[in-house]
Amino acid sequence: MVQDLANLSDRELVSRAQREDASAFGVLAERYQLQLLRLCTALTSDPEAAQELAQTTWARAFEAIGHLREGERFFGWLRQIAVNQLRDGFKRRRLPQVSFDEALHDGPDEALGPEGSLLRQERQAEISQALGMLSEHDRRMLALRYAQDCSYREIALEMGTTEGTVATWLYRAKERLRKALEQGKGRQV
Amino acid sequence: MARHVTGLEISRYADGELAPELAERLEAHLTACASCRAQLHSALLLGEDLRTHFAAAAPDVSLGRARSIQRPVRYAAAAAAAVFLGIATFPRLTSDVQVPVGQPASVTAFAIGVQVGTMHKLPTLITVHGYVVERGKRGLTVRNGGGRTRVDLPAGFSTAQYPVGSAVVVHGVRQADGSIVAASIQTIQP
Ligand SMILES: [Zn+2]
Repeated sequence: MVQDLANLSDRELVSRAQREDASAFGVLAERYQLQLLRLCTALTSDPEAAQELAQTTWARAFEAIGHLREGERFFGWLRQIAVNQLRDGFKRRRLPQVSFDEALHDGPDEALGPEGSLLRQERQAEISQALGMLSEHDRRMLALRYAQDCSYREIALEMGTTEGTVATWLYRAKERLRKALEQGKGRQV
Repeated sequence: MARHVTGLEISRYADGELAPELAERLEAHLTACASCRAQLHSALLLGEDLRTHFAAAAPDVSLGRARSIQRPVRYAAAAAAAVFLGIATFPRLTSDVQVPVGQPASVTAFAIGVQVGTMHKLPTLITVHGYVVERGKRGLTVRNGGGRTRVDLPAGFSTAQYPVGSAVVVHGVRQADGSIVAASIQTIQP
């Protein structure tokens, strides 16, 4: 039985896993375990952190497998989950988040503690100020990507250009934002 | 060691927009290069900061401060949203949203309040909880995923007529298929 599954393509396994065939997911996990661990090692450098990242990535993948449209892109999808998990890990460590509902109550963000709240506000104020120093074009690019969550292809369609150009525009916008952030820090000191 | 990866490649990778072959090459390099890895981490953090900025009722960067409030609710809880938005304290205002009783639970009512900022202006773009409100010449466009709708501001509308702290509230319903309908605009004053 498991023998048979091992001969199936990623696409077929994903489709079975989506029909809640846990053993199909197990075969996928076996197939990509090492590759994912290598990826996590590249992303974190620390073997323990890499293990942890790989584990949360598998857990998240198991939950979300129903949303994967192109089963043949399984590993690419897994990679994106790992990168997102890594990013979320930074976020949690540096700037604790409150849920939107909690944030609705005016007053100090108690969930963060005074320090976390202050840090978050300071960082957001810096970002806000730095964005104000960018061109309208740069801000639009950043908003399309990070506010509206558009893919490069969607942005290219919207802006009437190529994905390659979008990549360059976004890269430059982020670089200019980074510079503006550094300048802002310099002024405050 | 192989040559360092470029900033452009790191930016694309952090956005999940680097072709798989190139992504693998980049990962192979990261395993051995702490400096490029640190750059990737910094790129991921910057992206996260931007998401937080845009999501957290972002103050408009070009027009000074403006706050937005929004809360997607199951329709059954729409009344709670109205109370939250302060509509209940302004009884002369009534909701224009018409939602038939017995809508399927997947229908979501939303009410997005955009506050008039210190310069008596509405922000050009706010994003909360996946809803994006963009200010156009005559009205506001609300988007969520594939759905979008445009609502015109009342004729002769000018934010200068309203004290700072007033809010323009967009009401609407997002249907199970993702389309947005029945959007309307109200203005509330403090
Ligand atoms: Zn390097």
